[in-house]
Amino acid sequence: MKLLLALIVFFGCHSRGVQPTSAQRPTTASLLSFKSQGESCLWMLYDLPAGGEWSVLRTHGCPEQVVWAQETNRVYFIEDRILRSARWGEPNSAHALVGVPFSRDVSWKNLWIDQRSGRLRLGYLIGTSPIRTGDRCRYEYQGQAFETRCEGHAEEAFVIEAGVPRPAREGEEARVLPSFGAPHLAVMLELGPGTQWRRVAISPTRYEAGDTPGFGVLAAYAHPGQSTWDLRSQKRAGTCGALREADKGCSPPPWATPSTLEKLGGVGELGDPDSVEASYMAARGESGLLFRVLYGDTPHIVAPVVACRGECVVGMPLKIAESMESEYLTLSTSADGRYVLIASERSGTGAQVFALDSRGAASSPVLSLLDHQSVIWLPAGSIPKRAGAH
Amino acid sequence: MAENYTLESGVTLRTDVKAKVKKIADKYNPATKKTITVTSGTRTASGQASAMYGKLSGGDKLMVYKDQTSAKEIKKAYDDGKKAKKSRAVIVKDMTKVIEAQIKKGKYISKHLRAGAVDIRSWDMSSTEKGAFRKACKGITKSDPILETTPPHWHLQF
Repeated sequence: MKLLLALIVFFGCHSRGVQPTSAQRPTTASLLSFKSQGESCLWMLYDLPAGGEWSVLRTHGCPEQVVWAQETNRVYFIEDRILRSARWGEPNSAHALVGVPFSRDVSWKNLWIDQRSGRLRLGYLIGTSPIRTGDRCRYEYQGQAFETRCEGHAEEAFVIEAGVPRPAREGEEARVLPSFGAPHLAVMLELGPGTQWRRVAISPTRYEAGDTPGFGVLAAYAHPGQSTWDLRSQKRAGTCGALREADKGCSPPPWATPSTLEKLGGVGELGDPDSVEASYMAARGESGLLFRVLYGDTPHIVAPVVACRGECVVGMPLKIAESMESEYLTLSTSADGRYVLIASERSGTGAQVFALDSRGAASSPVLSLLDHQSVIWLPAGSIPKRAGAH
Repeated sequence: MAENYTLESGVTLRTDVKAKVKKIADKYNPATKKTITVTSGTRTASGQASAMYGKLSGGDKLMVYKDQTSAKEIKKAYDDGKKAKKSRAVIVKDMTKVIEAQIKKGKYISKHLRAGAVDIRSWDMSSTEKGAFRKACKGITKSDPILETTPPHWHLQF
């Protein structure tokens, strides 16, 4: 309650764009959000324990991809098909670097700094259809053609050599694409010293269906760095699949049953038992979160979310905004486990932050950023230096 | 007359499922003037094994599946095959056998191994069109369609 009051008082008294003082250095519970304001987008930093908020950058539009390079204290982002850069913490320092060489209709894109080359890399997926002639599937993209070996109904076998696919020979160990999914090309580019894009690798792939490889066909060419991190992976970190991969939760212990959740969450029918289960995520000390998981091709966290302790004999449902009740959610905690961030898995909007006490109690949010985009934690070790900080 | 739905190459649907997809497409089209695209339908055990081989060789831990016991059995066939330096084709065959044995016991690692699961393209729909699509599915699908995010598509269950 004290914290809630402190946040209300602090947020009520401080105008947007206030620079942090030395007492307001980001802690292990700092959030970054993007907020559209008139013609521009404010990049906002929230320090929950200290109760501070300030804008760290102002850009024309809100970016979809962001990379932080801690060593150079720079941030790189794509906005309106232009790669831009800015000095972290200097609100008006954004400037254009170079355009991105694809149209608006790419199905997926990501930006990272490659650990091996130390350069910015851009990956994207674009829909296409191969032309089949006999046992060859031929692709053409940006003036270059290459082939794979067509197999069965729609499978394709190929080997990537020096970043370019060629048909797999009989008996050769090859990558084989599934017969389902929509045909796409995965393209990886690197930004050279003269701000020219150079193609690192290209590969056919399948996308838009469960179990399709997507950009994973070029995984051998991607080496995301330790000293950088990107918005996409931070957003994904709170999904059920990513939490499980990182062994951070979204798995059902034996006592986490739908009936326990039904009792604690105060909800009725939880849905088809074939597609629904109750799962759990440890948060702070003995406290954690019990919630519903809905399965299609992948698992999705959905309300109710209950804060509880131990084996969740008792618990308290989090008051999730009405607009988020039917959304799939991301669930993540601050590094110290004191705060829980809930946002939309699909859009990254609808963010609410709840404070957990050591007894596993929480109900109303201490911070609501429902209209902000892509609200994410800034891990303590990944917070870039703030130029101009007092 | 052209249908209001198309199938990506390689996608197969059972006749009754195809009729239901057609019904949804015929309800969706008058509201949006658009057609729908099916990106995945019924899969064979070997098709599923081949896709899972691709995931495992890319480092995926198969954590997205509800039945983790079955997922671990399939992963074991992969790991054992790799350890024994078997070829891709042989490992996929071993994985297929595991999936087939699971199916015999009524365990389906993917809903697409049963005839009732269908994936539909979603990126070409505006939020209004997504609303129209949900509405078109009402009374035809077993439950509300799921708008998957990674990769983006609709997952339908009949």
